[in-house]
Amino acid sequence: MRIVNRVLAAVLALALLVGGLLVAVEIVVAGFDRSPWVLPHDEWYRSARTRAWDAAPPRWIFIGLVVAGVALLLLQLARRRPVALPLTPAAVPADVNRRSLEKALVREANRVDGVAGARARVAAEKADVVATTNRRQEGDLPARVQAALDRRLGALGLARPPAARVKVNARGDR
Amino acid sequence: MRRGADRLNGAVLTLLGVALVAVGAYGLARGYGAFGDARAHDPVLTDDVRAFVARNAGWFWPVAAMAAVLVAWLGLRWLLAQLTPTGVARLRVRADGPGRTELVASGATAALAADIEGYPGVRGARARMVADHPAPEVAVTVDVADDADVAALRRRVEEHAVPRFRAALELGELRTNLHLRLAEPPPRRLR
Repeated sequence: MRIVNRVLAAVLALALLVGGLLVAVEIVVAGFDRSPWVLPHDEWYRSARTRAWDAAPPRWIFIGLVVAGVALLLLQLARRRPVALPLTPAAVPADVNRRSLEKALVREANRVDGVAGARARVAAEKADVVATTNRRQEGDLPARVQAALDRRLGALGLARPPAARVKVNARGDR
Repeated sequence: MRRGADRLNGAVLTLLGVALVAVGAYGLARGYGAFGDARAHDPVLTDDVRAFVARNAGWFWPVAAMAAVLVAWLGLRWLLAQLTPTGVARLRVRADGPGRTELVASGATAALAADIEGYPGVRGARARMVADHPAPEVAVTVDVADDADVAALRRRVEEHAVPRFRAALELGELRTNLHLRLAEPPPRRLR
């Protein structure tokens, strides 16, 4: 999401820079009674004088503005997972990279006897881990994976450890 | 620094989103007759607006041109905020005599990283100065093995690496941010 914001910001900033300069230049050029340099503002002017608010072209432009604005707002309001999770406060503030924590939880789950594979998704408050096993019955595997993950999360000293939620898919489930 | 740029992006994009929705919604509402049928049939550029601009052409266009240049300048600042690399290249070192002594920041931070790389459970470390005097700040990223004692590592960084670094640079205060990345332990060699 931050990457999307940075790309959007760079594109819009460039558009503002170029657009602002072009408008300033066009105003100066028009001041000397010359025809438009780059922006066809004389056509826009004629169009704005003849087209009414209820005409189709302006309406489509306004719809476009609303859609673009709503998309921007949704992008900003979307709840993002943290880049890092803070550790308990100390003289040197510290945090743990979230992606590396996800991979560490996958490795931890894979170390449990009976787990054939795993994937993890960590958010601020929860860590969802889905493990797969080749066994037909889960048995006590979910409890063992849960215990391993709780131990791993507990050892890090996170300020607010996310609650591990484990789901085991047994061969019989597929 | 990067977080500052991210916050700026979030704020500007949110404001832009609100402005686009407001302008678009006003245009649609007016076009659909929310302010009366007569106003819906008005041209987008009304005679009142044209008359106002014509009456005030003496100052209107210079002000419009200046506003456009201001927008371009703000766009340039925003663009530079995306492109400017974060960090401090040179550190000012306290000197008693005349003149000025500077230290290449990457050299100093490499020594800090090397210190930390010597600790048990550390697979790699790097550090960079993100701010200089009067509030110097260093960011340290450490790759930590799965079996490392994170609490012990933090203590060593706080009590050993950072004080040594601060003393070497003769810094009274140094804000430190420690970023840990959990890494796989190195493969064990079989004899």
